[in-house]
Amino acid sequence: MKIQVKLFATLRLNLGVAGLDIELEQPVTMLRLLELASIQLESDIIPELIEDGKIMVGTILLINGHNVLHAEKLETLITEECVVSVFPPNGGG
Amino acid sequence: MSYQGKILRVNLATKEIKTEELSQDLAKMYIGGRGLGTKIFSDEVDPKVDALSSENKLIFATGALTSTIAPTGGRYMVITKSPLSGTIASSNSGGFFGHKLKSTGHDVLIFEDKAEIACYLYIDEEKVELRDATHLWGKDSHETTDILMEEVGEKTAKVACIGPSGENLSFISGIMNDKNRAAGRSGVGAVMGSKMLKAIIVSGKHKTIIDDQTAFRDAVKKKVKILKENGITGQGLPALGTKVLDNIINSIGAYPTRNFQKAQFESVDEVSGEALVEKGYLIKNVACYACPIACGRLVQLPQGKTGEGPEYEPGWAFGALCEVSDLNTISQANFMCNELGLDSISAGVTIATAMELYDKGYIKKEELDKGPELNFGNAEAILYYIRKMALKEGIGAKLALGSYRLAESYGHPEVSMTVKKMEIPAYDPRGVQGHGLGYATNNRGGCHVRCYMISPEVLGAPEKLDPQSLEGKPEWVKIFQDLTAVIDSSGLCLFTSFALGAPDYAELLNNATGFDYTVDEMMQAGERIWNLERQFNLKAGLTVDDDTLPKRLLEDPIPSGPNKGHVHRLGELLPHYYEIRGWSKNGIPSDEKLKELSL
Ligand code: SF4
Repeated sequence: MKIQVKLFATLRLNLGVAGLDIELEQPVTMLRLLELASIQLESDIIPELIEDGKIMVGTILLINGHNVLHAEKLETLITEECVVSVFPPNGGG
Repeated sequence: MSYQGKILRVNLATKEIKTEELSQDLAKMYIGGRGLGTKIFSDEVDPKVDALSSENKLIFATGALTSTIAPTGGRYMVITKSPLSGTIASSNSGGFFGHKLKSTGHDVLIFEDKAEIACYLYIDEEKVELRDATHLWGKDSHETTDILMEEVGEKTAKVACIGPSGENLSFISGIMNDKNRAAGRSGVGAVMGSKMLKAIIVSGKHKTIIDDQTAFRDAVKKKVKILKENGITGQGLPALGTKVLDNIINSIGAYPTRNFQKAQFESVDEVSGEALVEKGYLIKNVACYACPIACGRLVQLPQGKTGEGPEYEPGWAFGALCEVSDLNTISQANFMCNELGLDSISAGVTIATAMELYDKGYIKKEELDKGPELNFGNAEAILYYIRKMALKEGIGAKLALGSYRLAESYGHPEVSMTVKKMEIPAYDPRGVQGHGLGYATNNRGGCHVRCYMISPEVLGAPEKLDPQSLEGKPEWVKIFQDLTAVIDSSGLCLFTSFALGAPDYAELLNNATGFDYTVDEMMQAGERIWNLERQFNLKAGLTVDDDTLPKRLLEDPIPSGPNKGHVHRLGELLPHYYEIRGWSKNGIPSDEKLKELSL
């Protein structure tokens, strides 16, 4: 299955990449997906998003628009084709 | 004592100018800025007054921490009765004007009555003069500022003024300061225009005195460190400004599109904060007085024009809400609003309303008088009708009164996305339930900065709440409303609250003012301010029926995206909100509550 990963804000601007597709043969957790994305990007994006094993305040990780903080957080399983949106800590209004 | 201790009262009809003492008791009870200004205003003005009559007053109030070294301590508040909503209006702005106003040696400026011919007020630490402004009438905010700066010849002076839309009494006109900063909302520009007051220029060097400089400096250092280390205030806002939100709010499916008929915009990538950088428009970020965050954007467009913005809200209003995907036009629209002195949120929402009225055949082509068609997506129409709106030409006369009165004039008020007749900003309440309750109960109508529930419901600060859950939301809304009243009264920027909490504000306030607020007492001052505003509105004739949202948001489910099928569940939230506020079922503060708050 194909997972479309979209990168935003400083992640996107610093890496110069708006996103990537990841092919999965079996379900993975959100954390594993971020590791796979880091490998494919040849740049570790995890320190920008996660601290001490926890999603940083302000980091937003969405599966089809739904925040994984209201599911199983970094352990949320990605089981089917979807769009994953990744925002480092941001804000404003 | 971080107050100057002085109020300046200017009667525009008699030209009498008086200085009065600021009561320390009032300062402690209402902190400053929004709170103190509202207290003075509601003591002096009949809530039933016509907002554009000479009986209305116009107050500029600086906060307890304005013009100190507290992070973001440069803000001021404009308090008056709103011609748009008929509610209390208090409109906040940053830049450097607030700092300079307090440096003249005054905390508060009160304008009474109306001038016969256009005038402006000059203030420095030695003199206060009302001067002729006939040569400035008709000029935009940038021209006015340039002319006044040259006339006065003091490089560090700062100007607040209205543009043509305020002169023409547009209900959606604001007051501009430092050229591009706006006390934008509630139509405060029209009140200034009705008084024939074109501008205020301030120049002063009075320092704000702090009793315990060392303790205050230490407290400030700690807070700046927190702001710098926080991901939102230390990285996100400086890098992308508020426009970082386009993609966030679109991704969660709460990005109002096509006048709230959809909640996601296909072309978001063309208009987002990231696009502003990738297209090379962004030159650098800019900061208001004493701000370590610096969320402002200095932008240069392909044809060479430079200016500030667009911020998230106007970018969205002229973009997704009108289905316009040309970032160049959107940025120009924002520049035009700043120059013409229009509230860029209300202007965009009003044009989107006109587009839906046109789309549905309620506005006829003949009425456009050979102007561009008001089709969704028509970028040319945006720039054309902004000018018409500011100058009140042709259909612009109807647009200038805002979305609600426009839609009502065609017999279709349901097309207007407003609360208490003020245009709703860039978050669809059907996707963020607490934020929607904040809109419905807002003391000045459709506004996002009196209760920014997006912070917990979307951004996860201080903790992440499920945006669709109702549990605990009325309690959160009350805390956010009361805390925001404190921040607005302190003279700090709301954006500090992404990183700072109530104890941080209490520490700053206590060290600066010499008061000894406990956190609870400070929060109670916020609650007092909220209830005072509520009392004003009730006396002005607003009722429980005004605490609502447009029918579309309560009854029509979001058609697609992550929030597909959701409506706003206001009916399930409002009774509990009234209860925890200590208000009756009809939203009226109980006698016990008023007594508890010494109101
Ligand atoms: S965060 Fe932005 S709006 Fe607030 S004071 Fe700083 S620059 Fe001004």
